Amino acid sequence: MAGRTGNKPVIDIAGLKKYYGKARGVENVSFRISPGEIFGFLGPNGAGKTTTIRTILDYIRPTAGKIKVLGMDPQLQGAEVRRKVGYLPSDFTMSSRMTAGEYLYFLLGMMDHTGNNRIEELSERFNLDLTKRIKDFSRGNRQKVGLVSAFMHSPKLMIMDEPSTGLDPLMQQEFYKLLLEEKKKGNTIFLSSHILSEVDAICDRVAVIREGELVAVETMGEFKKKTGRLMIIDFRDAINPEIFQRIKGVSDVKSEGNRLVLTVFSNVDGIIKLLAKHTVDELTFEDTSLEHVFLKYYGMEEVQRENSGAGVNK
Amino acid sequence: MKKQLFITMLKESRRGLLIFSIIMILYGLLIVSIFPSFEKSLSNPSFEGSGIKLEEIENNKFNLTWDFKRGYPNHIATGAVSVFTYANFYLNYTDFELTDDLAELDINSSLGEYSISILYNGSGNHVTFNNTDNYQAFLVVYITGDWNISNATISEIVTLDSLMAKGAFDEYLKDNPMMEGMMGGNIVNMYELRGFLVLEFFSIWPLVMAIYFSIMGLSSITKNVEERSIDVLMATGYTRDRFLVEKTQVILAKFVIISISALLGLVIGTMAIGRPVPWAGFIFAFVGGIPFGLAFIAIGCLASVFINEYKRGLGIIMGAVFVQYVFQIVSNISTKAEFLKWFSMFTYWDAGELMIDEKFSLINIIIPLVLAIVVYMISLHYFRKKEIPV
Repeated sequence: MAGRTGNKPVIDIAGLKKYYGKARGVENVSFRISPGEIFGFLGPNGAGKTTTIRTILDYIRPTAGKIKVLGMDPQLQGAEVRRKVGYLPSDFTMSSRMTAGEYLYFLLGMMDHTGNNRIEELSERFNLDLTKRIKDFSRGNRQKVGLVSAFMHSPKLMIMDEPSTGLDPLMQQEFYKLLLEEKKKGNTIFLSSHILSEVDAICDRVAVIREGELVAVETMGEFKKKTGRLMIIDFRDAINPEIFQRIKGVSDVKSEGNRLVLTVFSNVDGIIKLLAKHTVDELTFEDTSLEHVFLKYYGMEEVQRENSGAGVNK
Repeated sequence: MKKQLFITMLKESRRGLLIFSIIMILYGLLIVSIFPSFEKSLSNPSFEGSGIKLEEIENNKFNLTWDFKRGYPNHIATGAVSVFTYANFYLNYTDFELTDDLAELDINSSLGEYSISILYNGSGNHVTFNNTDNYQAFLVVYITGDWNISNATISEIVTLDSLMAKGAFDEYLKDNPMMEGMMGGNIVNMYELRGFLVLEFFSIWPLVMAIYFSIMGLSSITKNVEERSIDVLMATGYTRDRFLVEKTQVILAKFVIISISALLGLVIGTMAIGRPVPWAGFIFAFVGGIPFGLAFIAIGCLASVFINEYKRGLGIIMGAVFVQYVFQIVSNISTKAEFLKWFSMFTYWDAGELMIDEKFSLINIIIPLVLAIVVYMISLHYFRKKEIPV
């Protein structure tokens, strides 16, 4: 599960375990993130994404396991880690009579940051009115303040927990663009999300977590190969679905009247050639659901366990 | 290192702090402004009936004054051991024989038949007397120039009971140990400004300070945790120690500002009523409250480290303050419960002693100060270990 070879990992987690009393937070989580990577952390709500992030930033302490962030141990140098990281919590909350501008400069002051900052530039980019009082902000605008605060001091590592929550689609696209620019600069981004398309659009690698346990850590290419995408085809006339099942990289072929739904794992060249022989009214692609992804991974795990003779208790 | 959190938080709370400070100044002013009328009514008591006034000018020395009445130049002021003594006299005062007797009697002689003594016989309108015979009721008989008794008339009866407010207050305190306990258990001379302030201002002030500043302490972390704003603030790279220390510094600054405001209120009030400002007493009383204030701030901070829900914390903190307050009251009332005073911070801010004696008690400084330091260190220690919840 190592990242790119030759680079010292920016985040290195080994055997992380966190219990809240008897309740499990996360168990045996291990991964490394290399410099310049956009690393997705994918999982449904309550899977353990936030728990992992909070241990990385020393808001909570691990029950077991080792964490290194930028070469530092958060338990010993928590403040230093947080100072060097741009962090956006899942729900960016502020209670203050300050304006957005005053609040951001206040946070910058708390960072003891004296160099250039990106407050004006980023506010303009995200259409954030710095003169408005933050207590009057909608969730989306609060999130924009959070985004600016995470990037304003030009950190080398950004940790973002569900960052696009509350942003409208236009702002989401702007945000993804910003992340890709940061990647180009060689900065690292660790991004948790429960939205598959978000991870798909920007991440180099992804870790999938479910019920506190890592299911997989893969490059996006490997990940997409395993999870596939849904292809929905509406034919003019009725069609025999069996001919599609024979195509390499296609599975789960289902038909409903003239509609055919299939999961595509590799390139679509074979399908397109086959489709050319029929009249197609509409062709759309959809992301597979997160649950579908998990089923895929669990399915594989089950087969592997059965092959190795181990029982499955899922 | 710039104290950004301290500066900004103090700046943010400036409006609330200004309002609270003004209220404290007005509160001090109001309390002092009551004193002159209180002093007049209690330390120089008088009772005014219709056309007659009884006034105690010094201990057991009284002045009885009455109005002149047209056509009644002769005045006989009388005293009786009971108001009931006058009943028979009241029915018979137009009796010729009685008047004859009255006219002939000397001052301080007694009208035996009625158990009434003559305090004054003449044409003036006042008499000053030492009430050695313990008279309780007084009236004046107005008689015409020709001593025609059928035309005589009498004033209202004034009694000593009506002058007993001062004594009554002391009696009230003795009969109500709870009130005595609340006032510190030491009945000071409240007919003097400092004593009055000990009872009227400093009996409540420590409670106000304890509640306000323990809540402030509680807010230092709990509020940010509950509002979930602590993540953003801590993400700036503040250490946990620095975070709590700067938050506490904001509370300390407020403590100083509010204490000075209250002191200012008392000083301005004292000047406004034209009395000399008891500077030393005031300074001792306020400075003596610093260890007490620090202890409650520390208690609030400790609660803040352990309690993540503000409302629950508020209940616990208020409970802790009131339990200590009750401990102090109960320990003042009952000798059996006297030991409870050692468990109450209110014991260690004896404003009465500080104001009147103008000296610090070492134990009253050391105990709350040590407690404040120990409790604050524990708060810091546990905050370093605290798991900040989502």
